[in-house]
Amino acid sequence: MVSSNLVFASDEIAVSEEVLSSYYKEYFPLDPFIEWLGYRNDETLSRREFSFTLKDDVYTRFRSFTSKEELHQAFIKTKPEKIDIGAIYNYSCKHRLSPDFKEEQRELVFDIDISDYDDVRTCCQEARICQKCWPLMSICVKVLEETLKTAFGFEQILFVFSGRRGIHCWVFDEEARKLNGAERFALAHYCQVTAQQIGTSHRLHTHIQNALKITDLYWDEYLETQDLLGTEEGIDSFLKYVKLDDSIKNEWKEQMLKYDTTMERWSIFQQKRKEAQSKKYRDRLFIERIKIAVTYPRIDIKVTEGFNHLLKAPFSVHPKTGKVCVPFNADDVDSFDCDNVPTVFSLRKNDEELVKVIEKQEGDMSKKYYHGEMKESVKIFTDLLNQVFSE
Amino acid sequence: MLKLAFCKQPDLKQWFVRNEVNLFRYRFNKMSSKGKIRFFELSKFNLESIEKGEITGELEANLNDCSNITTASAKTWYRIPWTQVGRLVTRRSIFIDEGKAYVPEEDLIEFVVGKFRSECNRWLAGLAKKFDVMMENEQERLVPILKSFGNTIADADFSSTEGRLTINSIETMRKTSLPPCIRQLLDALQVDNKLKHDGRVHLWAFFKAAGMPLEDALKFTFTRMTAYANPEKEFKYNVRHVYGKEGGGKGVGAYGCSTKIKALPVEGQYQGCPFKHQRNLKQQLRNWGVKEVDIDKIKKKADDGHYQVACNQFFKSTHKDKEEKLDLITILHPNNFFDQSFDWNTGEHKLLKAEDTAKSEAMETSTYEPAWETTLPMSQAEKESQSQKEFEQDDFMEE
Ligand code: SF4
Ligand SMILES: [Zn+2]
Repeated sequence: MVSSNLVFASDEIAVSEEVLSSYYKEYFPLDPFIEWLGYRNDETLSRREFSFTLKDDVYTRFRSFTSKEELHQAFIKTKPEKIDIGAIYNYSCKHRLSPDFKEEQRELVFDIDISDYDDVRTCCQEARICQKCWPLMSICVKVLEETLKTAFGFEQILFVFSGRRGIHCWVFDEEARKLNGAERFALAHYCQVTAQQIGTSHRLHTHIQNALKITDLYWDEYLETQDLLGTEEGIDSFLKYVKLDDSIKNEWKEQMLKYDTTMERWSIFQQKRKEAQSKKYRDRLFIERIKIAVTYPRIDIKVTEGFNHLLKAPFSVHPKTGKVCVPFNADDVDSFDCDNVPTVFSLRKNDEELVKVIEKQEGDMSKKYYHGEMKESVKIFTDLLNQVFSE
Repeated sequence: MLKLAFCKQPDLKQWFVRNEVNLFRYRFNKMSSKGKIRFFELSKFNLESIEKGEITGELEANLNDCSNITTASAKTWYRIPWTQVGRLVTRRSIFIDEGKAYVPEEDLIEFVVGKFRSECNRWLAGLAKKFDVMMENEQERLVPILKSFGNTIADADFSSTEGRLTINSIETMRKTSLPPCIRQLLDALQVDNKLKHDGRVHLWAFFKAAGMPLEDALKFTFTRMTAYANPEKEFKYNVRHVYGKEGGGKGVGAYGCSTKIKALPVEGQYQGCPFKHQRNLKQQLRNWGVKEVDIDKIKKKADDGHYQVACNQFFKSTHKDKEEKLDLITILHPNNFFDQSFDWNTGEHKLLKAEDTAKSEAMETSTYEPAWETTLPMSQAEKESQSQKEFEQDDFMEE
């Protein structure tokens, strides 16, 4: 077999097959998971596409399962390193060659990677993420939640830590599941504001105003901790978004360089903004433009647009960090600590204690994932399912 | 008749619907405002209009802000599910609340056009179902005529003459004439000395259609996929299979742009269309020597979802002379990119030779570009190749 020549950075541990298989056997919340994917119907389940990435990067699409047991067996037998979830089709994936085989339902999904924010982070780069740059993810969660709820009227929304470098968002509402390709395209583009879209002096769309309100909850602190205006390049990177003549911008820059701290330099921008209001400058929206450029959610639009795009399943395990992709509450996003999520290793370590706890339990409650480290995230998930099925 | 010819081919169907929709939009715009009012009365859309008195305070502010106007309260507004005015949502030019879009009267056309488009699609889908039954009785009379309509685009054979691409010319061709999607595979191969399964199959199928002799394809594989312990043993069968020399089939046909655009490459896979899947498109283009002025143009097209148009521009930017004629180039398929480029560089391109006939032909096909709005199931051919791939993949896993 082909040897994989991956080089792991120091914080990456490859998860062994044995550890994975015991996770799937004992901690993976299979019952609610299956309930969700088939919406309590085994026939629907059998039309849902699964994709497994196995050892040595062997990648298989269009798997489908007709029951919980079958999926359970497949997990244990193949120990997938990655599980992706696709659409529910009109036929079982076994009949995917039929000429009218097509997507029928698919949760609306969003995928955000912190590595897309490297130009506005000084603390980490690429896949790394820490408490200092997490506010960017907080902003994403809040903007998405607000937009999906108030504008589009969706209610059943799940946010999931993607295991390493970002977040996923799943919308379970039936209307969301049944959106067609064109509708997904429209929604995705609605949720993709760019700095270029902010003109120099017009009314801002309600969606953009709302996003800016959320940004403002974090802005000053983020600016300061990241020290975004600490260097000359930093100042330039902001000035780039000001639509005024270079001579004016150079003048501003000189004024800023007389100060040392990011916050003092930012106050120059604010002062200029006040002057702009009195029509001194043509561009009156540069503050808004900068904030959008730095903090507006950078969603991977292809994922949201696609009807059959695959996305990593909640509760799967990141093959390098061993972290479980846990759901979390949007309201608690600020205190979410991505270095403190359950990992296959921590679950193992605390296993003995947990065994004692579940000995006293009966029936469903004797499942390990209803207790200990997994408890909270499983509860978020099952609460949402209850909401889905109570309709 | 046209409807019949097009209903079975997803790409052609898109093209057909888009043209019908444009025509409809044009006619609708030409209507007098009285005519429009009459039209709405007749069509019984049951639109929910908003009482004038309701447009005050916060709602008024929102309507003004979202449409960038100051006159919201003077207009007539309708409340429509956002899914029925997709274009307005895409442009973010309306206020949406609780799933309802607030549409001013002058934008109602988007709603009407949307209705028309879905009717058109539904109608063609119904027609496709009846098509097979009907054709049984019409084999002799209609089928040849219909085929000649559709063939021009969808079924054209993009194979080159044998020997057009060889192992000796591939490195030069890579810089001058290979399509971006194939360059991307070769780039990845150069770095890693390996490719994932789908990437290999795409590459071999391209080689075959580009006229590369089987021996050359084998030699290329053995000398370049060196990350595998024994490429000869591992891939000999597969390459021969793609070339139709094993397994009793015709071999694998080269993958078209729409397959590549619809592909879902995961990290480490490169078989897609770079204009759709390459996250770092600009850098990639720079590496391929595209001029900075062109990069932005290409990127813009790609961002707007016009992947094949971006590819046309790439072609234009990487070929010399006769700019006005380069504008007329339309790429229909990766192998067609290769052929056209080869012909262009050797002065054999039909646009360079025959003046007017070639021009009008190219004009006709250049209206073809994937529509933004339609997602369609895979075509039969694509499905077959998909199953082929998975079949092979299963084999592969057992090794
Ligand atoms: S548009 Fe077609 S030929 Fe051009 S890169 Fe994409 S797939 Fe290849
Ligand atoms: Zn950080």
